[in-house]
Amino acid sequence: MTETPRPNPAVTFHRAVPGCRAPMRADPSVLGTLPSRGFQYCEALRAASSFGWYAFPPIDFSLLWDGSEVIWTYRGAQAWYPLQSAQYPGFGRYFDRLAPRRLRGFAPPFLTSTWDPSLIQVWTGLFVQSAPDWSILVRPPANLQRHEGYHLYEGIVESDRWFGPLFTNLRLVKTDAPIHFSTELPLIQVQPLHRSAYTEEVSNSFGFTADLAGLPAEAWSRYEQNIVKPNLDPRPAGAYAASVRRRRKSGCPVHAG
Amino acid sequence: MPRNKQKQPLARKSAKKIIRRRVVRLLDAATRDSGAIRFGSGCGPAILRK
Repeated sequence: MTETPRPNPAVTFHRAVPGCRAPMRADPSVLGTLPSRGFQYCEALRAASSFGWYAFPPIDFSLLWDGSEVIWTYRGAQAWYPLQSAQYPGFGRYFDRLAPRRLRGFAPPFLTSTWDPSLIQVWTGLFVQSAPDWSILVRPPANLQRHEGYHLYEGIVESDRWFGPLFTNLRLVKTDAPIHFSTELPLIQVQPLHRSAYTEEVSNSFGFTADLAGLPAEAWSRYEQNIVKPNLDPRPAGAYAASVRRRRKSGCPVHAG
Repeated sequence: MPRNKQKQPLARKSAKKIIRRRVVRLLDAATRDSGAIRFGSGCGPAILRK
């Protein structure tokens, strides 16, 4: 088997907006919001929750969509403003001070209203890049209660060759009610994804057994081992979690065991 | 009494109306964007502008 290279680091974040919250490793307890039973015993939940990093809004801000246009405000602002395209407060000047002369005037916007006024592009205040052949999956934070006021899209970015702002797109769902975004809550979760994991070949090809009668003997044995035996002879709670953690400590989680 | 009567209509206004009253339909100097940069799905309008 060819080993998947593990570059260190796989992903690098660059803070562009001064003082904005740095990304953090995604948390197995989802910032303390998971039920303690799931956190303690459900390795599947922990693994999905802690895979990757959280990125946060660079400032507290609010959006209000009335069904035809969006207005917005931010911490420290005295009013609501119609949203077309907006810079992070004061960022344009900051960018121009530090950017090479030829790039002055080209600061990325913080919020952009797109063709569809309910569709908003939000920049985290970070730039991102990844190691060769590694992409990033930008998605809502795993297992964090979704906000009912908006829907976040997911995207896979080839950030090894596309260097740029780490942003996301969201669709406003709720009208006539302010939707608040806080720097205390992650906006997105960024997960490293090796290009080989999502090639067309991988996604186009999958196995399927059409009938239980066709289940191979090896699968019956594994069903017995994983499901039946633990029910006949109850194992300690969290045995699966313990075995996964043991395997992880023994080496590469992809190739060990 | 007259003073209270004057305040009552404001108190009855819905949250939506209060927010509407606060909208300033002018650009905010601190967040004014030139529109020079678009990325991702925002690229579309930039292409059309060319």
